[in-house]
Amino acid sequence: MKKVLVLSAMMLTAVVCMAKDIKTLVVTTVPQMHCESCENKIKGNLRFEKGVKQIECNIPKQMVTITYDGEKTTPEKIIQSFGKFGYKATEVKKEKPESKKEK
Amino acid sequence: MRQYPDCLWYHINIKAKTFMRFILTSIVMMLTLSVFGQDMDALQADTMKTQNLQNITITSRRAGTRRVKGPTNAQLITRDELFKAACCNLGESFTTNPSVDVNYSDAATGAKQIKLLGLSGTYVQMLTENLPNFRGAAAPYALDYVPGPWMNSIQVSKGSSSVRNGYESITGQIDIEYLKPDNDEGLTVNLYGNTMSRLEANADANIHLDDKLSTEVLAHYQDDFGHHDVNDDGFLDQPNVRQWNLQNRWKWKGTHYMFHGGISLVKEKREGGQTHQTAPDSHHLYKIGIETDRYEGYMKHAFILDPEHGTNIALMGNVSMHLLDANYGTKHYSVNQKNAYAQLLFENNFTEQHNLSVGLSLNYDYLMKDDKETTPGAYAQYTYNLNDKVVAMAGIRADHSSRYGTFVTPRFHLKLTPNEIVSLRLSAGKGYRTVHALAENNYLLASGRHLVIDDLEQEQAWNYGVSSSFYIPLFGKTLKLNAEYYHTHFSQQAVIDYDSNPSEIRITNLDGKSYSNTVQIDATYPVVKGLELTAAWRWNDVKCTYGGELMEKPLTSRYKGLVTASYKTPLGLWQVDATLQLNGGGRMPTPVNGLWDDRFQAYEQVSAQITRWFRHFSIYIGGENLTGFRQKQTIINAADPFSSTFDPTMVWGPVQGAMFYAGIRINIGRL
Repeated sequence: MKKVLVLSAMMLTAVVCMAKDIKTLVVTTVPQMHCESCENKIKGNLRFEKGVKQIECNIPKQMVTITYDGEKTTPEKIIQSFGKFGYKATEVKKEKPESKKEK
Repeated sequence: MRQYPDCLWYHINIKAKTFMRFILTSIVMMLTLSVFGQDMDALQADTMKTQNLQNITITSRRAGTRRVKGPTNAQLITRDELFKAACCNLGESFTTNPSVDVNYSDAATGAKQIKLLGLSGTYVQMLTENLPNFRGAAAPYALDYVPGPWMNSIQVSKGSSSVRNGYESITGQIDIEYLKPDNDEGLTVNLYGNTMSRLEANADANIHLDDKLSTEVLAHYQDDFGHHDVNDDGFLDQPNVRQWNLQNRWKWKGTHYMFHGGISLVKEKREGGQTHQTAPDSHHLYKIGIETDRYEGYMKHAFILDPEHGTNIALMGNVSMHLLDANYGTKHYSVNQKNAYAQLLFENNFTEQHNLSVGLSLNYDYLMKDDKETTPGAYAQYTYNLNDKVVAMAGIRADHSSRYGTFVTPRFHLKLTPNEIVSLRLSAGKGYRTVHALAENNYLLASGRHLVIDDLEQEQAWNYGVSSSFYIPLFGKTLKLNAEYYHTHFSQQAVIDYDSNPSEIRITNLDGKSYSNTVQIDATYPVVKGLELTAAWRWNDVKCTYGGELMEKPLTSRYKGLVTASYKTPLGLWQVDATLQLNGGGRMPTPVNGLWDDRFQAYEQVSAQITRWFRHFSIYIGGENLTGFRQKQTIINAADPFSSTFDPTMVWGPVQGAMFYAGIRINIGRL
């Protein structure tokens, strides 16, 4: 019984952890992404920004999809952070690449 | 679109119902992850590529080792892989690699040797930036001359390689690519220290002088200052090495012309044997002192005549001077070795199917008056490529040695890729090698036995190989399987014979059979998100004729097993790596007066490392040989180092126990 309780407690904690304000931001960049090293540069830098949870680069579509914790950062801050490594990002609105469900 | 990229794992959009099924297993993972302060979000790592296929998102974690596309069986070890261990130098870069073994070949000097296909490292052609390097006297300590943080990648090719780089590779090739001057500008500093009293500092800095010209400086300093004698035999467990290593590289990149060149110098002082601290009662210390000064220069010119057809002419070459002054007890060896190499090659893709590469080469080695060789040569290599499904590469070269006359080297490779799941590679080829016996084996002077060197022939061997790779979709991920068999047999070989005469080590010409058979199976699978497991097993059957009797090659493990686990958190901020190695037992040289056993037993090795990445730096801590296994008697008759039975060269296992280390890499300017 104790085990079940402990497990349930952990599950609850886990669920609470996951119940964050997770949002998605899609941007295009200047300069454009050409290759894997451009992608690595973006990912390698952006991953250290507070609240960033996931970064996906789509080179053919020239889009970067950033999943972030809305309680910790804002789209403006993320867009600004591109400037730290010499890129300029512009938000792409109302154009979600895939029908993704919010967690 | 690539369907099955390396190390991919599928990320399935988990629906609520299926989520519940996974929740219990997830808890275990969450607990693990919570240690690292990370969320258990179903997110992809920075180093992961994603591709969308309808409802399934495929995410691949960039592999640390990649199979090279061509017809040869080659693996590229990238920096991602090198960061899995401290990798202070080239010798330590193969900890996580199932194909390459690195042993201490000498307990007193720390000379290290690579083994590929169960055979000595001398049969592996060493290249830096695609040019042959570390020949002759540089060979015993060469693995220490390439600092780990300088390396961009290492390419390990097994079996006979392309004839383009010469006739020497018999069991394979190892090509080291350094960091490039035209990489992102900046400075990286690496500091490292371990519990065996080693301190290291490395730095690499580069600058783009304009949009075409860039330059780079690579620097390394290491100092071992301890007096570790764990086994209490009066000898240092490892020599104290102080090394300065500096390299300056330049690159000019135009549309039709490219230049790459550089100079480097290595200064090394190696002190081993007995010291006043380790053997306070000894009146006559057995000391080992090896001083090395090495200077290198290289350049490459490439003229791109027709980019569409890949038509280019390249002229490349390198020169080196290697001064070695070594004292092993009362024995002394010094050499001033000079080498020059030049190569002119032309390549053209006539059509997408047909590629031709032809070239001329000239190699010059000078060790002493009666040990020098000039070898001009020419080669032609034709590659047929049918939509990457069938790739056949046939090469032939003819060389003329000033010592051994004219000889011909044929090599053939075939790669078949009938579908995206299977690929099969076949290879056959001949290799030759001129032996500079004393220079390449001068560490054997540390033995109390007489070192006798006969008048040696040029070594000749055939190598045949078959390897198959499978990319098997399994539970939504890809299982990478690899199975291979290699056979090498020597028609002429310089055999190091410990067995025929107990009072001597004789380097003599092969009289009888000498061969190696190796079978290797390895598998890599991304078990859960971010966690990749590799398991490998290799059997070695290596035999050689010593004094008329076909015997197992001494100090060679019968098998090797390897399991590596590598875990990266979703954004790759934390990385945990662990490796378990199982090395099989083998034969010892024929025992003399019962001083040692006739065989050695199997032993295990465990190493682990944790890395934390920050924006401008990363820190890592780790340990090697965590089970603390040591070869008990690394030096035979250590009590009487000036006797004929004294021998520090019979080493098959680790000399030291567990070792822990920590390091930091600081990144300035590079984003």
